[in-house]
Amino acid sequence: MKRKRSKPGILLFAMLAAVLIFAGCAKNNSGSEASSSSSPSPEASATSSASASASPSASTPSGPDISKKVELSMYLPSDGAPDAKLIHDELNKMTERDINATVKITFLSNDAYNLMLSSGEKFDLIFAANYMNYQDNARRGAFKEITPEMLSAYAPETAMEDKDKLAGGYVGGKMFAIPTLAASFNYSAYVVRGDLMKKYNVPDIKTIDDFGVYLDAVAKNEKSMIPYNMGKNDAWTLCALYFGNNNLMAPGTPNCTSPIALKKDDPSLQLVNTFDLPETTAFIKKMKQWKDAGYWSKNALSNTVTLNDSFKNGKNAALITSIPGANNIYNEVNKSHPEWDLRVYPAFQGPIDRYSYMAGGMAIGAKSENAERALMLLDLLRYNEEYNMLTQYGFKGTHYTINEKGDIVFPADSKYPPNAAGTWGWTNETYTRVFDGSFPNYAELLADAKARYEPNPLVDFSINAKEISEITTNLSNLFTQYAGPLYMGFTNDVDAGIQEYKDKLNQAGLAKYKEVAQKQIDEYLKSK
Amino acid sequence: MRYSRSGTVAVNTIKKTDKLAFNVIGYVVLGAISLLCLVPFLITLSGSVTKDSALFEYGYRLIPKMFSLEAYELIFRTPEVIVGAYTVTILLVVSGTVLGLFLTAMTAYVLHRRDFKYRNKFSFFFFFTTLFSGGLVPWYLVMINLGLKNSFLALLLPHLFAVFHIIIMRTFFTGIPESLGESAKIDGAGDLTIFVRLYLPISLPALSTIGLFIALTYWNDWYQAMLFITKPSLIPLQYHLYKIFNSMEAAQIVAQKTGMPVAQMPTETFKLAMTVVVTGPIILVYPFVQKYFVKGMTVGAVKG
Amino acid sequence: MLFLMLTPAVVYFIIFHYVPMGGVIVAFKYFEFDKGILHSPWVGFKNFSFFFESGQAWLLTKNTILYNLAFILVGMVFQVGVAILFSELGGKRIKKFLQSTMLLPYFISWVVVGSFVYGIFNYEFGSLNTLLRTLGMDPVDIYGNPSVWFFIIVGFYLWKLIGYGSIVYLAAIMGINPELYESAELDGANIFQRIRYITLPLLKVTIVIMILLQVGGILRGNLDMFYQLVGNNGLLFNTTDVIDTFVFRALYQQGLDLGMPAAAGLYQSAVGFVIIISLNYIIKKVNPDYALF
Repeated sequence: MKRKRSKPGILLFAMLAAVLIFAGCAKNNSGSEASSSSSPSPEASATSSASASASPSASTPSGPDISKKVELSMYLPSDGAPDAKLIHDELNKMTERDINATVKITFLSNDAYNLMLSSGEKFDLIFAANYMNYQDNARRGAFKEITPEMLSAYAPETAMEDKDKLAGGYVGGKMFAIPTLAASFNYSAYVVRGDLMKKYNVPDIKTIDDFGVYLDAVAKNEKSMIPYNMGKNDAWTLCALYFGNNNLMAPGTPNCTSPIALKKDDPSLQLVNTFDLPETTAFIKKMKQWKDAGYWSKNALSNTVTLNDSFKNGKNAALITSIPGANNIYNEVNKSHPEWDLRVYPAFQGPIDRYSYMAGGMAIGAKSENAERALMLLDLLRYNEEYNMLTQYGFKGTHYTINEKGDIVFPADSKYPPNAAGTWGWTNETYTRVFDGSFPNYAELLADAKARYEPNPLVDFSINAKEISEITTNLSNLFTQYAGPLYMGFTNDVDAGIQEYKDKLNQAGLAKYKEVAQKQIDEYLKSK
Repeated sequence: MRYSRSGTVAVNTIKKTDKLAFNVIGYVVLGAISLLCLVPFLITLSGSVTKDSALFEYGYRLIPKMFSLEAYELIFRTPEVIVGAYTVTILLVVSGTVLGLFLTAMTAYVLHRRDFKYRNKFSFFFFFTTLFSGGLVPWYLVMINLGLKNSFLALLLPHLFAVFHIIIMRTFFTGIPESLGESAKIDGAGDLTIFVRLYLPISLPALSTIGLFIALTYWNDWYQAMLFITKPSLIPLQYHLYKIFNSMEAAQIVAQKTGMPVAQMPTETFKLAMTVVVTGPIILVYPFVQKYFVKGMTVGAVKG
Repeated sequence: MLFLMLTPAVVYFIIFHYVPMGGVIVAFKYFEFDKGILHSPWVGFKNFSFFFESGQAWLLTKNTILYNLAFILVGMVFQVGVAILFSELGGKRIKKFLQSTMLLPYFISWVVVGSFVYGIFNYEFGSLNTLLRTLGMDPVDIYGNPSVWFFIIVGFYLWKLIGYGSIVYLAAIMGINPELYESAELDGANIFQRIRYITLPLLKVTIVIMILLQVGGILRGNLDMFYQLVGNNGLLFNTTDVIDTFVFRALYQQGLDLGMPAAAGLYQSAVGFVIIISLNYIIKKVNPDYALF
C-alpha cells in the first residue's frame, strides 16, 4: 500500500549515470592544459572582454531592453553543495549588475526533474543532456525553440560559436538547447598493475590478446583475486572494447544497447545487424573462453561490487575505462598502493571518435517568459571567465587554488567541490583546468587520442523513435536479457545463443527499426 | 500485566504438559526466526563501524575487522542539520500519527456500523483507489496547485489516510459487539461521543497497530520530501540521509567522468550506518507500543 | 452524524485520489510536454503494444501472479503462526525482545539486502560456498540456477515482513474475548485445541480481509525487491521477471514517456479489479461479514 516508486529513481539515476560514463562524457580532459594563464579570482572586475561584449548594459542603446528587472528560475539535477548558497548570492550580485536580473537556482533529483518537465510547470532554464533523453524531450515539446535571431540578439557569443560545437543542440533542424563547450574522446584504456605484470612476465599490453595473457596469469596464480571482476553493470566495458577494436558505431544510441551498427570506414554508412557479423561471433567466443577460464565471476551479472571498487581493494587486477576514468583511479590508488605500479595502455587501435557536445547543455522551458534574459545569462555563464570560474569552482582561495604549474588544487573537504553543484551544463574547456596529479603517460594518451581522432558525421544524430517506440523499447529489453550475458560469455553454446537472440530481435521488429533508422540517417546526412 | 493471563493462572497447573510442549516448540521456532532476523542486523551494525575498504576486502562480518566510525562521522558532520532534520521528522511522525490515527479510526468506525446503509458503497469508494491510480504526474499537479510545494503539509497529507489501514481498523471494530454502542445510544449519546468515549479506549491493540504502521510510514518516507521540499528547514531525516548518499554516488560518478581526485567516501558502510541510524529510534520506541499488545484489553475486558 | 464523520476521508480521497485518477487517459495518448496530459494527441491502444507484442506478456503475467500468490499465502501462514505463538507464550521480557528483533529486517533496505544476498550466494567467495568447501562438499552455483530463485525471493520477502505482518494478527488475537479461552480450558481443552477451535476461527475475518487487500495488487510486483535481488541478470529472467521489472527495464533509457508505463499500469489495475470484484462477490455470498465492500 505504500508508494513504491521511490527506489527505482535512484536506480534510474545510477543506470543513467552508467550510460553516461559509458558515453564517456568527460567534461574536461582535452586542450585545457595550455591555459595556464593568470588565474582569475571571483572578485576580479567584470571588465574582461567576454563580459563586455556579452553583457550589454542598460545604457547601451543598441542592446536588448533590460530595463525591467526579472527573476529567472533555473533547475539543475544535482544534490547541490553546502556552499552553493554563497556562490548563488555572489552570482546574483553579478547578474543584477550585468543584465538586471536575478536567478533562483533550485537543485532537484532526477525524479523531480522528470516531474517538473511532465507537469508543465513554468521555468526559465534547465539542464539537458543526451543521456537524459534531451532529444526525445525536445521532440515532445519540453523546451522552447532557440531561433537563430534569438541567439544572435541575446547570446551573441554563442551565435558566433563553431557550428560543430552547437550541432548537438539541434533536433529535427531546430535548436532546443545550447550544448557545453567541452567534449571528450571515445577512448578506452586498460588500467593494469605493473607489479603483477612484472611478477608474471607480461612485458607489454598492446592488443586484446596481450590483455588476455595478463588476465590469464592473474587467474592462474592469484587465488584471492578475480582478474577482471566485473560488477552487474560493467558488461558495456567488453562491448565497448569490441566496438572500438572493430571500428563500429551505433548512431544515436549508446553503442552497446543497439543491435545495429555501422562500420565507420564504410563510405555509404549502411547499418548492419551487429550479430550477423562474424567478428561478433568471434569476439563472443573469446569472451566465453575468458569467462570459462575464470577471468570474471560466474555470477558477474549479479555482482553488486563495481570493477572500480574491487580494483581499489585489490580484488580485481584490471579496468577498461576512459582516460579521465584512468586518471581518477590512478589518483586514488597511487597514494595508498604505490607498490602496485599502475599502468595505463590504450585499449584499441584505429580511429578515435569524440562524443557529442550535448553530453550536457542548457535548455529554456517551453513556457518561459524570460527567454531573452535567460539566453543573456547563458552567454555570461559560458564565456565570461568570472561567471564560469565562480559557478564551476567557487571562490578562489576558499574552494580552490592554482598551483605553480597552473593545475587546479582542491582542499580535501571542500564545501563546493567541482562538478557537484549541477553546473555541467555550461562547462567551457577554455576555463577548465587540469587537476593536480595524473598518471605518467596521461599527456601521451591525450595526444594519441587527438592524433587518431576522425570526425564522425553522425556524432550528433539521434533516432526519432516516435513511430517505432514499442520496437525500441523491446529491443533494449532484449539487449539486457540476451546481449549483455552474451558479451560476458554467459552461454553454453555461442552460436545457438546468438541465434536465439537474433530470433527474438526479428520477432521484435528489428528489420523495421533498421529501415527507419537508415532512412533517418540518410536524411540527416543530406541535411548536413 | 495485571490483565494478561488472569483467568488462566488457576487452571495452568492442570494442563501443564501441553503448555510445556507448546512453550518449548514455540520458543525454538520463534528463537530461530529471531536469530535469522537479528544476525543480518548485527552484520549491518558491525559493517557500519568497519572501514569501508575492509568491507570490500573481508566481506560482511559479525565482528568488525577494522573498526572505523567514518560513516557516522559523515552522517553527523553537520550536527545542526541532523538536529533540524530530526525535529522535522519527529514533528511529522507525531502530528501525522495522531491526526492520521484519529481520522482513520473515525472513518473505519462509520464503515463498520451495520446500520449505516452506504457502508459497502463507501468501502468500495475507498478501496477502488488502491486498484486504479492516475499516476505520479497528475497527483503531483494536484499537490502543486494546492500550493503545497515547500510546506509541512506536503509531507503530512500524502500519508494521512491509507485504505489498508482503514479496512484493517474496520475489521477490528467488527469484533466489538454492537450492543455496546446501542446501549449508549439509548442513553442519548451521539455517534461521535460513542466513537470517542467507548470505541477508542477499548481498541488499544488495534489503535497501537495502526498507529505504529502510520508512524513507520511517516518515519520512512523521503520521497515526498524529494518531490516537494527544497527548503533546508523542512527536510526530514530520511531525505537528508538520502541526499548525502546520493551526492556521494554523484561524486564518484563525477570522479569517473573527469578523473578528478575526490575524497574517498565510505559509500558501502554509509548505507549500513544509515540503516542503523534510522532503525535505532524505532526499536527503542517499539517496546512502548508492545505494552498495548496484551490479551483481553479490548472488548472482552470491558464485558468481563 | 455518520456522514459528517466520513466527510474528511471522502474529501481527501476525492482530492488526492479521484481527481488525479483522470490521468489514466494518458495510457491512450502520445504525451507531449507543452500540451500536457489533457491536450496530447490520442493514439488508441498503441501504448499497450510494447507489452503485448514483446512475446513476454504471458510469462510476465504468470510470474507476477505466482510470486504474489506465494507472498500472500506463505506470508499469511508464517505471520499468523508467529502471532499465535507470541500470544500464547509466557515470559514477557524475552517475548518483547524476540518481537523487536523480528521487526529489524523491515528497516534493512533492499539495496543492503541485495549486497547480503550476493555475499552469501556468489560462486567464488560467497559464504555458502565457503562453508561447503570447508565441509569438503562441492560448491553450488546458485546464480546459474534460475529455478531456486523463486524460493530465495519468497524467502527474503517472508524474512523482511514477518515481524511487521504479524503485528496485525497479534492485535486481532488480543481482541478475542479471554472468557472464551477460560471456558475452553475449564472444559479440558489443551492449548492446541484452543488454538484450533478458538483462535483460528476468530482470526478468519482478519485473514480473509488481509488476503483480499493484497489480491487487488496481484499483478503488481515490488520493483525494489526484485531489482535489488536479481538486477539485470538476464540468465534468471525466466523465473524472476515480473511486469514491473520488465516495464522499468524497458523504459529506463527511453524518453520520458508517460503513456507506456500508464498502459502497463492500467493492465495491472484492470486484471486486479476483475479478480477482486469476483472474489469479493463470492465471499459476500458465503459470508457478508468477510467481504471488503
